[in-house]
Amino acid sequence: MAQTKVKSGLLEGVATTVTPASGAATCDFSAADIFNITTTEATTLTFTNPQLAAVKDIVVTGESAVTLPASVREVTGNTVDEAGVTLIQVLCVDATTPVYYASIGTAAA
Amino acid sequence: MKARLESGKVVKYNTIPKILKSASGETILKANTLPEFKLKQLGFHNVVTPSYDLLIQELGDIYFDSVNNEFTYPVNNLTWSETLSELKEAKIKIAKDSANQKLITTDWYVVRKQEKEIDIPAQIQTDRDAIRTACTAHENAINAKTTKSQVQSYNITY
Repeated sequence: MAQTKVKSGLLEGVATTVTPASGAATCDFSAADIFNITTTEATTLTFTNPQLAAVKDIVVTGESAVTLPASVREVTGNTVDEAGVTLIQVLCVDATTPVYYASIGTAAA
Repeated sequence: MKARLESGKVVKYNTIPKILKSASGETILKANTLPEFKLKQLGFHNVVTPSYDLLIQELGDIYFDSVNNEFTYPVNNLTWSETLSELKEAKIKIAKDSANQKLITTDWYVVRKQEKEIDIPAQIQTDRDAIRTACTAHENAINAKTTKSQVQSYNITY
């Protein structure tokens, strides 16, 4: 049986920085795996190009409110603090509708 | 304190939760940092407790006052099953009991006078007389009241 050699580089994710404008920021899920966002005002996130079963990480820095799309269903037990870095891990379970499950937590900066 | 309507019920919040849902299902993180106008857009409004007389009034169920854009309570007048004279009797009893409590603290001077013929200090006697006079005045004032609310709101102090 032929074996395919997997190079470590193929497994690396792609990180990108999303800069909010006028209280809105868009995460294009086809463009990266990790989205770094720094907020300075209340910001509404929009997700585009959902991919079934894809897990995306959104890292938010800033003490402003962040609104997730209505398509996001947060799992229970999430906590968040104003200070620190908030990690929003999003799993796409339906790319058509779409529907996401999100696990949310805050880590020290 | 703030409150908002959720599924037809008024839910009060001592602090704005850090994670909350908007009416359209959006999840809002760090919602406690939202400015006042955003909170109002999400249905959060101040809870204002009106001033009222505990002795004759009570607060009803919280509701949204759309004129003032705030949650508040109606103030309802209390009703009593007792008759006016029964309320007066109860109030006078309170006045007398309170006077008695005041007198008790210096009763020992009276006992000492009876047992040992030691005079009651003039100031103590004056104070005890004043308590009795005040009690009589309270009793007369209560008896002069013509409504239940007047009786119940009558303040007894010595």
